[in-house]
Amino acid sequence: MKRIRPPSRQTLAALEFLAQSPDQWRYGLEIAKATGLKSGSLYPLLKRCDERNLVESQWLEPSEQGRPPRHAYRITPQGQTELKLGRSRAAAQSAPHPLKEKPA
Amino acid sequence: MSGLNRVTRTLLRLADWIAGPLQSEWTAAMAAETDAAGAQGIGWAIGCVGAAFTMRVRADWLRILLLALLPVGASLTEHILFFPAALAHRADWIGVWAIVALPVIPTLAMIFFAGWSSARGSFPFVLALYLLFMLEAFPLFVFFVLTGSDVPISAFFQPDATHWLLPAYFGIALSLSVYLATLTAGFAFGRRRRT
Repeated sequence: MKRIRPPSRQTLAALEFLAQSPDQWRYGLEIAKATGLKSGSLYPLLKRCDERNLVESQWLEPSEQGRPPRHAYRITPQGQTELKLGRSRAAAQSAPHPLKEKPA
Repeated sequence: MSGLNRVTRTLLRLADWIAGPLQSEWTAAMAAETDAAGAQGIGWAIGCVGAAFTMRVRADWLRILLLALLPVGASLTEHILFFPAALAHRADWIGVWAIVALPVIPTLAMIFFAGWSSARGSFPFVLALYLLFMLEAFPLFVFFVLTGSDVPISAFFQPDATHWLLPAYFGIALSLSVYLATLTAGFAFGRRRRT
């Protein structure tokens, strides 16, 4: 059975950006600019998200003539669910632990 | 891709080669985005080489590990079996050609398997170079490190020196050719099985 890890902080950042406008297709450069990710981390992350059906991708025709078509990405409903889960996990981790609190 | 300069194109070709044919959609996506990146294209393309490496290792790690270890295994097998074979020959238990056959046959089997495992896309030149290095140059390096020998390397090529019972130059050329031919045969056989 393949182990499915929860999405990393970088994956959540990319999903967060895509979730801001879930119907809009976004390019790799836009995601990189918004999240601060470099291409070396962005593409393996997008590929993993695509394989896990968290994002969908398609080739879009360029706006300028003579330019190649560009790969664009959009968050899926499953990606939005995963993002909500990720947010609640992050909130739970940042909340103070009752047993670790120092007595007043 | 008219906006790309020569360095960027070379980096993208390298990324495409590293990623392999199964990731071609992703390398095409990276190339298109590099084109759109304009002045920052080189930085983006360098990252694409790293991304291609990560994607390839994630998708193919078991085969990459196997292909990295097989030449090491072949070299170890050849040299570990050579010494018992030579001792057995000295005790007159086996004939002179058995000294060659005993270590070389399992080694060739491993090389054939390496060729068979790499039979995707084009001929594996990097694997071939790595294999020849591990079988011919690496043992010399180990010999010098382990023994701390000050024998000059030219001693291995003197007129009375032998390699696999043959004159040194001829023996080395023959063994390199046999290794390369075995790798090629394994590659061709694997390719035919997969198509």
